[in-house]
Order: sequence, then structure tokens, then C-alpha cells
Amino acid sequence: MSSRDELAARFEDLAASYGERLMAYLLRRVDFKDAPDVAAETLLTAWRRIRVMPDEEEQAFWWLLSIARRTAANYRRGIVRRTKLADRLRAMPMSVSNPVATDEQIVLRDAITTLSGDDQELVRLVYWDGLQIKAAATVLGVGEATARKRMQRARESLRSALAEEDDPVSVS
Amino acid sequence: MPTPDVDQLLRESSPDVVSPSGIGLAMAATARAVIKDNQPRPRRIGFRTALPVAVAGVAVLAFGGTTIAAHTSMFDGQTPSAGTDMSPTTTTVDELELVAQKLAPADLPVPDGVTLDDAKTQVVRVLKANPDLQARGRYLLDGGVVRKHEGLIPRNVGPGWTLESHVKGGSFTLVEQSGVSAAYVFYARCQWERTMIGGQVTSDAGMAALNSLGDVGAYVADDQGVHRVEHEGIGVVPSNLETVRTDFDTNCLGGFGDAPKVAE
Repeated sequence: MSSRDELAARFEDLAASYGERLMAYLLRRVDFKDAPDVAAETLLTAWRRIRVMPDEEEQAFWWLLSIARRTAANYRRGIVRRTKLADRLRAMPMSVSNPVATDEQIVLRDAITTLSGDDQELVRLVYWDGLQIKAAATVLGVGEATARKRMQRARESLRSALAEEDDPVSVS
Repeated sequence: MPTPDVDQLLRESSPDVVSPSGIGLAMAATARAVIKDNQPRPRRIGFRTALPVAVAGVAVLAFGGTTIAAHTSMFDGQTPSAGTDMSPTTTTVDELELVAQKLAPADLPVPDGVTLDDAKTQVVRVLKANPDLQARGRYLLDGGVVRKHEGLIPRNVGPGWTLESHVKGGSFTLVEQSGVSAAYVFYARCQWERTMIGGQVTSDAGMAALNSLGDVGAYVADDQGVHRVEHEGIGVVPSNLETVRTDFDTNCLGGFGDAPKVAE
């Protein structure tokens, strides 16, 4: 079993190496001003659970994202509070901006909201955060085959919504 | 008109995030602050082994083989008064029942049709079913208030003595679970699984509920005191209905998974 010092060193390395991607993940999902607090809370939870962190670094990042996902969910329930731990992160100049709202993007955005919560997150993990299906499945806590099926279903649903918008059926 | 490229549109739908190159260093510094002030918890038990441990945890209540977290809100936070007889007492079944009642978490999420009273009944049943629990317990009853008992407590307690200060005088070993709390959480898990399998709640709702349940080790003690780990999720949850069935058959049948009896 790893000593506390070894775990601490690995944890710090993980935060340094993947901190930017973790923050980007959160900035795309929670209110800009609250993202540092959610990030700090994520690190706190991750450290408390460090003994189950996967050994392989990339997989450790997926594990960290799965904690961030639950922390973000808690944030939406109003559970995450402002913490001094986040002061350093709060001091960093960051920005987030939404894409230009073209007609297609508006249709797509509406169509995404019709997916289940997990399917929405799956789509975002793959297309926003650049994760492979296997990684996204790990973050969501489902099997890879299940994630593939869900992704296929989600893409078909979104494609249909866009096609309907392009080719509306007139009703006389 | 060409079919829109849904993959490209999805990629373009991502909010554009700009963060400085130093964000990694700031994260590492935050991680160091977290490490400095907090302790990692022991490795968590898996779902398949949780019930035996939960029941074993109840036995711990009687024998005191493991420290159980003292939590002032759990124990009404009252200070023993001077001269109160606080020597160890034999814990009877009735007293254990009172302990179980007192430790019932008010915010335990249970499916529709299940109540906290059902949970209490089941947890008390488990307590009663174990004859070992009729031995000396780790909890004392003082004027109807349940207190944790750690060794012999002096008869003449001086002013200013509190349960909290007593705990601080002891060790700050990280505590993974309280047996009674674990039993409540496990009861809720079995009930969610039962209703999922029976189709009374959707799979998504059931899974979300399982995720939202407090950990079996819901109470931890670290250098910031004893507190509950809120809404952290249970770490290991069944990933689909098939594994729910397996876990239910293994851990819940003929016990915590029984449907509540409807009052006649």
C-alpha cells in the first residue's frame, strides 16, 4: 500500500497535470464565478478518497472527472459553498464564452435538452471535453458497450431533430 | 439541402474556455492545501460486501471493537451533569432499540411507499436478531439521551465536560462507519433496488437515488472533527438493472429488501 507521502505526491502531480482540463470541464458546466469552489471541493473529495485512485495517470484523471461530475451535481443542488481553499483558483484570470447561436446550434441545443441527463453528459464528455467513449463511460460509471449504444442513440436523435428543422413537414 | 454534420455541430456547441497556463500550478497549490489539512479515508468497502459489514458494524455497537464516530448532533449534544451515574451499564434490547431510533437519519432518502419508520423497524429487527447485541454496549442512556461510551466515564464529571471534548481527548483515527448508520443506508439501498426491480421507479431514478445515498461509511472523523460526508455518492453502485438484481438477491432478500408491511 502506498504511503501518505506517495499518495500526496501523486495527487499533486495529477492536479498539476490535469488541472487545466478539470477547470475547463467545470467552467462548461457550472456558473463561472462558482467554478473555483467546485474545483476545490472536487480536490477535497478526491483527496479523501485517494486510496481508490487508479494507478494509471489517464485513468486517474477520469476518476477525478467522475468526482467533479458529482460535485457539480451537488453544486446544482446548492450544496457546494464558497471556500477559502478556492482563493488561489479564484485569482486566476479565466473566461468562458458560449458559441455563436446559429439556427442550427439553437435547434441542437434544444434537442440536447430532450436527452436524458446521463446521455447529455455523455455527449458533452465526448464532444466538449474530447474524451474517448471508454473514458466517458468510466466517468459516468457505465460499461463501454452501454455508453456506445447510448451515444449512437443520442446522435440519431440529434440528427433527426436537425433534419426535421431543415426539412419541415408542412401541414395544410 | 445537405444533412448537417452533427459531429461538427456538437463540437462547435462547446463553450469556449480560456484559462491561463498557470492554472495547473494553482490546482497543485490547492491540492497541497487540501493535503495539508485533511486526511484520506481508508479504502472503501464494495457494495457486495457492504451488508455483512453493516451487520458486523451493528455488532461493533455492542462490543466496541472499532471506534464509532461520536457526533454531537447524533447524541443530542448534551453535557453530562456532575454526579450523574455514567458507569457502564448493561444495554438491553429495549435500550438498543432506543439507540437505533436515536441514530435514525432524518434525511434518509427512501422510495415512495417506504417511510423512515419502516427503516427503523427493520434496523431494530436486525439488532434484536443478533443475540450478541444484548451484551454490554458502547452507548449509554442518560435521562433518555443516548451517549457514546468509551471506557469508564468518571462518576463525578466536572463542569465544562462535553462529549466533544471527551472525543478530542481521544484519538482522531479516521472512522469509516457507524454500524447503525450503515444499516440505515443499506436498508434504503435495498428498498430502492426492490422498487427498481418491481418497476415502481424508473431505472434512472433508482440509479440516481443510489448515487445520492450517503456512503455506508457516512460519518468520518478527521482533524476537523466528526462530520457526515454529504452526498458524496456511494462510490460503487450497480451499473445496470441486471447487477441490481444480483446485488438485491445476494444482499437484500429476506431482510432489508422486504417490502414494508402495510398497517392494518
